[in-house]
Amino acid sequence: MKKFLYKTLTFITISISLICVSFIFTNFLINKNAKFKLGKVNNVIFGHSHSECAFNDSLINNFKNLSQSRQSYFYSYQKIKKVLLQNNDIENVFIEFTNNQINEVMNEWIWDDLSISSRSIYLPFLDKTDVNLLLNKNSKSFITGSSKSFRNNLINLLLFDYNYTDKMGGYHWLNRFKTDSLITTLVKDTLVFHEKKHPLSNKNIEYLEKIVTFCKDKNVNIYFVRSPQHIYTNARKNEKIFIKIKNEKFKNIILLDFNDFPLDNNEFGDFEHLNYRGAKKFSLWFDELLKNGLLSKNNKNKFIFNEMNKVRTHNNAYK
Amino acid sequence: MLFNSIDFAIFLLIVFFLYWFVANKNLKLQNFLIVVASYTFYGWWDWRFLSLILLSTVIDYSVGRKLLIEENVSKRKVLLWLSILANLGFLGFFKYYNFFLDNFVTAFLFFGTEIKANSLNIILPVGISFYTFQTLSYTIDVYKRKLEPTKDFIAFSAFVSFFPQLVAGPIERATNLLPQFYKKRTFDYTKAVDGLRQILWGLFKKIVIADNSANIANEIFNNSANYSGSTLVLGAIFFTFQIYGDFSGYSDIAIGTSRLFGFNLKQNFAFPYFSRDIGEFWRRWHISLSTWFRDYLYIPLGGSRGGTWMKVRNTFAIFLISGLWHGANWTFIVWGALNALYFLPLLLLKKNRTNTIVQGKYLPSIKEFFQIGLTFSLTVLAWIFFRAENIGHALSYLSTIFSKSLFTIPKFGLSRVYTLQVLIIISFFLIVEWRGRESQYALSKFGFNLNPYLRKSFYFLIILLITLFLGKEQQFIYFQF
Repeated sequence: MKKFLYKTLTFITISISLICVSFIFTNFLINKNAKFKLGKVNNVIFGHSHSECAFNDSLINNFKNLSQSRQSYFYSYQKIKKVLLQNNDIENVFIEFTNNQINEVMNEWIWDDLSISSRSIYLPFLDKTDVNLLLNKNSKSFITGSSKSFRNNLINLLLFDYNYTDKMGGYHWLNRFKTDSLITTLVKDTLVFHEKKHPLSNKNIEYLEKIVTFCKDKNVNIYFVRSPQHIYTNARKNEKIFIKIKNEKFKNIILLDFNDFPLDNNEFGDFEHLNYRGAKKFSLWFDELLKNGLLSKNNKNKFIFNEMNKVRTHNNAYK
Repeated sequence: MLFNSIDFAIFLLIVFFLYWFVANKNLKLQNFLIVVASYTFYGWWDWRFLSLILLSTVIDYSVGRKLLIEENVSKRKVLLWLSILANLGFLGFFKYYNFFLDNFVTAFLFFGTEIKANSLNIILPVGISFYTFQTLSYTIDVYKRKLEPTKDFIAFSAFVSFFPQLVAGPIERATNLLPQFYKKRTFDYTKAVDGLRQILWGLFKKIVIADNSANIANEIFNNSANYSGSTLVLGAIFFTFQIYGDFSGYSDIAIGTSRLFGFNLKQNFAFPYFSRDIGEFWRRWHISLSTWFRDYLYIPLGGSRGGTWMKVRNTFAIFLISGLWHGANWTFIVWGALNALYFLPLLLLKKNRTNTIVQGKYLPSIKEFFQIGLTFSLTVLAWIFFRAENIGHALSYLSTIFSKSLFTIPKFGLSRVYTLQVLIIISFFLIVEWRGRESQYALSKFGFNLNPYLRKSFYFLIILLITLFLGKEQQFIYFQF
């Protein structure tokens, strides 16, 4: 029995130690070599699926979309840190800040099984606080996510593939036209929106604060952006509390609000996402906005409002 | 409690220490510890169903005791039927009540009579099909005077509830397992190391092969309408490896765990995918169930004695009941029928007992290779029914496979890189299984001719692969049976 216990324990200890050392070493190598180079780009946007589908960066000059669907600020923060450290040309960071990003559901987008698994690529870049958060909230998924990350790291190292820019988001060409059918259902079911109290995701808001602080420390301008949403969206039912959070916690950050950008139903994929048609229209307009000096205007939202009105007038004229 | 969970690792460690360090000097205490551990293991899932196991244990123990003293043939038969009806009654109620009810209602409706019957919201107790068959084997063997009934209730309880094989087999015969509870067990180093090796291989099969194949197979089966025939073939092949890795992995962990406690369970899988015909496949797949049906159903029905019609009838009976044993769904029955059809030519040509696995050769001959390929393809086809949600799903899956889209390049539901990784791992798995096919399990003697350090490095590689392909803890498929 002694021999059995001694040999088994020795083998298990050596195996676990070797695996831990390999895991830490591969994480170190990836962290050191991962490339987030964007080329000569001054403007970058981060966020979730709203901005992912709205900003077609091939139509916007000097602009890169690094948004990713179902992404909370926790993971955006990891990405922003790396991107800003490796791209000194970046002057302006745009962050999608919309109604659902303050909701409690964002906690799930940080630590539920799906989020940890699908965001395992970010694990090598987490610091101690971030690791502890995931371990405390969902240790089982953190372990399986680490396993996936370990596997991907090994493959990337073997293939000398250190390019992470393309693996962490980008414009999503959405080919969806569900808005009309959604409106039909909405009319049948619930026409009246109810103001409801929504529990908040303090963690997500905390990580947005970290993003703001990091950008300020790097002397990069930061702007919040609200991408266009359909008038029938349910997401705006927390509007009051959304505005309150914005004013209380991020008083000095300008929110560029494109929520009411005039679009037809067939330019929305659904109530919250622009399809490729909407994205094209919006992105070309946004490009013009930047060219016309949006970021240097004193009252940016007034400028946006006026420019949106011009589009509305133009649309009406052709109807 | 799942074998592939941290909970089980801790549980096993505690039971192992108590068994060999606290209860090692007293056989009764060791058996009692096994009962307590087994009930804890089962109760971890749902303690309410412990009463079912206890009731089965009490009934069969009492029937066994009565059979010992009863000489009257009719009364002995009554006792036997009492045990059979009680055990199959539990199984029938919990597993088949709603299925038969729904089918009766449908059948009456077909003939124009509408009957009202409410189905019940019944939870299927985990492993009920396995322990029911195990206790039945005891009563039948005692009735046939093949086995002396036990006087030791604790030993009998331990036999019925033995935790390594309680919920998904192997279905042990009382003649093999029960006597092991009477004998003093001493710790055997070689046996224990072999047990750990088999657990390691079982975990590899479950975590790496089954769970990762499941990710791809589930995606394809759940969205089969969106995929081409070639992709659906790929999905069926992944399911083929999923079910093998899942079930044989469980058996390996069960057998390995039993060895740690000084018990020998019978081999349940013997490299079935290397079989050269369906007859051989069924001698190598879920051996404990196949032999159970052979001994307690096929032979009593007349077996292969009698005329051709009798043989065909008995073969169909055993395959259909085997299908129904797996689950209360027509898909399982069709799966059984399909296997019976595959088996029929062998039976009629009297070739059902001739083939044995390719032995003593490094590679199979071209003929053997094609035979293996054909048997494997037939098996893949049958698994589609086993995996499908219902007959309609299976038929639409098959109709897409046998369409023009079979000749297109398969699409990967999940990422192409991940699918490729899993395919590479399955290839590695097949090589190890092929090399070890003449042993009880692939790792049993794998690399014994190598330098010990190299051999240990290979075990480390297996652990590393388990770490790299670790996913969310997934239940074993056969728990639902």
